Amino acid sequence: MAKILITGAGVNSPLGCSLEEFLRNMTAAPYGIDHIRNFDARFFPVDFGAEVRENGEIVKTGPEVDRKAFFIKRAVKDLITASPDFENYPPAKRMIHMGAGVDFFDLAGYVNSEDSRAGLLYNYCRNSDRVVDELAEMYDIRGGKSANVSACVASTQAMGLSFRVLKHSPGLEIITGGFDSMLNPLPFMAFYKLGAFSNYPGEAKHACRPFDKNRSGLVLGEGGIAFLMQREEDVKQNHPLMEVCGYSSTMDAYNATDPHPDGIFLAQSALEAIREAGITPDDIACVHLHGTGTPKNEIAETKALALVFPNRFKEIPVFSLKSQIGHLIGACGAMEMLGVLYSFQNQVVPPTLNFQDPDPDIPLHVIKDEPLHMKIDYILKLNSGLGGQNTAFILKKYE
Amino acid sequence: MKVVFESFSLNDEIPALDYLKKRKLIKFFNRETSAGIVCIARLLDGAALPTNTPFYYGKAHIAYEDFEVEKLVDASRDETGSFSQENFINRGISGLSPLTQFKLLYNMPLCFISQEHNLTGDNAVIYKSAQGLIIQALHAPGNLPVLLGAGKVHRDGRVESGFSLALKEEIEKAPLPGGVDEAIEIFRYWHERGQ
Repeated sequence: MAKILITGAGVNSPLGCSLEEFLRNMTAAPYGIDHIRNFDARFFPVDFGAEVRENGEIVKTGPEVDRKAFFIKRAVKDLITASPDFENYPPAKRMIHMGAGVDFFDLAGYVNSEDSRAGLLYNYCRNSDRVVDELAEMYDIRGGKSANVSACVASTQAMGLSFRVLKHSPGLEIITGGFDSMLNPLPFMAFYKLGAFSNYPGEAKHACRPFDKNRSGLVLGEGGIAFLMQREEDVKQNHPLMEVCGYSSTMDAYNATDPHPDGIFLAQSALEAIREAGITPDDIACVHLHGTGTPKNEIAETKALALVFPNRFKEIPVFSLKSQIGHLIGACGAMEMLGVLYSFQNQVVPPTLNFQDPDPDIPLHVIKDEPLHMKIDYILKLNSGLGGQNTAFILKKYE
Repeated sequence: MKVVFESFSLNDEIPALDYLKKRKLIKFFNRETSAGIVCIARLLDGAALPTNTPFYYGKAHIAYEDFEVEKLVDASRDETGSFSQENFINRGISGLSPLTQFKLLYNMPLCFISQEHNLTGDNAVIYKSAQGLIIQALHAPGNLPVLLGAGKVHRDGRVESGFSLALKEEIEKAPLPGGVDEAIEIFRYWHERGQ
C-alpha cells in the first residue's frame, strides 16, 4: 500500500504567511482574531474577524481585490518555490484539487459604476473555480483540476480526493488545500444573517470560544493554504511533514442549518477513516475538532466522539484551532491541518484558547491553559459543514 | 447507466412540489435545486437508493437568479448614487430575506437532494468542472453505483439539470463530448446519445 505524504505547505493565514511563521505563532502570537481593519466595518453589528497577517501586520488590499485569490496565489507560489520535487513531475502528472469559498463580488465597485445602471453585475464577479484554472495554467498543471465548493468541508474534501487519487495512481503529485475570505462586506453580512456569529461582549481575541459554556458563535477568518501531496516513493528532495492514512466523507441529510444532534454520520465518517487507516480508535492520541464555538456544533461533536470512543470519549484530548484563526469556511479544514502538524512536531495537544468554563453538555477533555505533552502518532481530524457534510481524516506522524 | 436530463425555461413552473416528500424544504430552493429535485425523481422513478450511495454534484456559475442583488444595490446608494456602507447595512442587507443564503450557497442543491432522498454517503460539490466531477466519481469509495448530478441556470433564465446513476466502470467507459468544460454538458451529451 502506497504511503501518501504531505511534503510541503504554502501558507497565508491569520497566524502568518509562511509555515514557519504559522507554527511559531501557535504560541508566540496565538490570537489571530481582532476587530476587522481591512475594510470600514464601523456600521457593522459585529466586526470580529481573523484577517491574514504577515510579520504581525494585517495584509491590506483594496476593496476590488478578491482576497482569497490573492492569498492562495501567494501560498501556491511559496509552496512551489520551496518544493524542489515539483519540477520532477511532467505536467500531465501534476494535479490541483482545491477547496474554495463563494465567488467574490465587488459590490461597492459595481454600485459606483455605470454598469450598475445596466445590470452588468457579472463584470464585478470573480468565480472561485477560475482561480484554480489560473493556478493550473500558471504552473503547467495538466493532469486534472477541480474546485470543491462544499462550504466548510470544501478544503478537506479536496484533500480527500487528492488522497484517493494518489492512492490509486502512481507517479502523480497534487497541489491541494483551500482558500477563502468572507471578510468583505457582502459575504460577511450575508453570513451574519444566518445568525451564527459570536456576539461576545468582551475583547475581540476572546470572541471565539470553542467548547466553552459561554460560546455564542463563530468568527470568520480568511486565508489560503496549499499543500503538496506525493506518494512516498516519489519524494526526492521535499521533506515529508506528515502522512495521510485515512479519509471519509458523509452527509447528515438532516437539516439545512443544524448538524445531526446525535452526531451519527460524523461518527460514521470518523470510523470509516479509522478503518481505512488500518488502525483502531485506541491508536488515536487526540482529536482536532471542527470546534466552531457555536452552540450546536460542539454538542454534535461530543455525541460523535461518544460513538467513536465509547470507553474514553471523556479522556481523549481534543483541540480546536478556531479560537486562534477563526472559521475559514472553504479553507478551514485544510488550514487546521497545520494544527495537526504542530501537534506531531511538538508532541503536544495545544490548549484551546478561550476555553474557560466547561459546558456540562460537552464532557470532553479540552486542554486548557497549558499544552498537554504526550506521545502522538495518530490524530483524528474532523470537520463539518453548513448543510450537513462531514469529513474525517487520520493523519500519522511521519517517521 | 441511466441518465435523465431536464430543461426548464424562465417561464416554466418547475414542478418540484409534485415530487417532494419533505415539502417544507421548498422555501429554501432556488430554481436549480427545484430542477434537480424533479430530475432525480424522474431518474429514480420511485425507487429508493441505498443510503450510502456516493453522490457528487457539479455546480455551475450563477448566471441568472433573482437573489435580490438589484434591490440591495439600490438600497446601498447614498444621495449621490455612490455606495454607502451605512446604507448597505441599515437599508440594504437588513431588507434581505435570511432564506436568500440557502438559495446562494453552492452546496445546498446537494444537501437538499440528500435530505430528500436520505443520502448519507460520500459526497462532494464540484464547481463547474466536468473533469473534476468525473475524477471525483471515479474515486468514489466502494462498489455501489454512483449518483452524479449537475445543474446550471443560464443567463436567459433557462435551468438545466442532469442526473445519472452508474457504476464507476460505466462512467469510465462512457463517452465524453470533446472540449467539455461544464459538468452539465456531460449529461446533455449522454442524454442526446441515449446513454
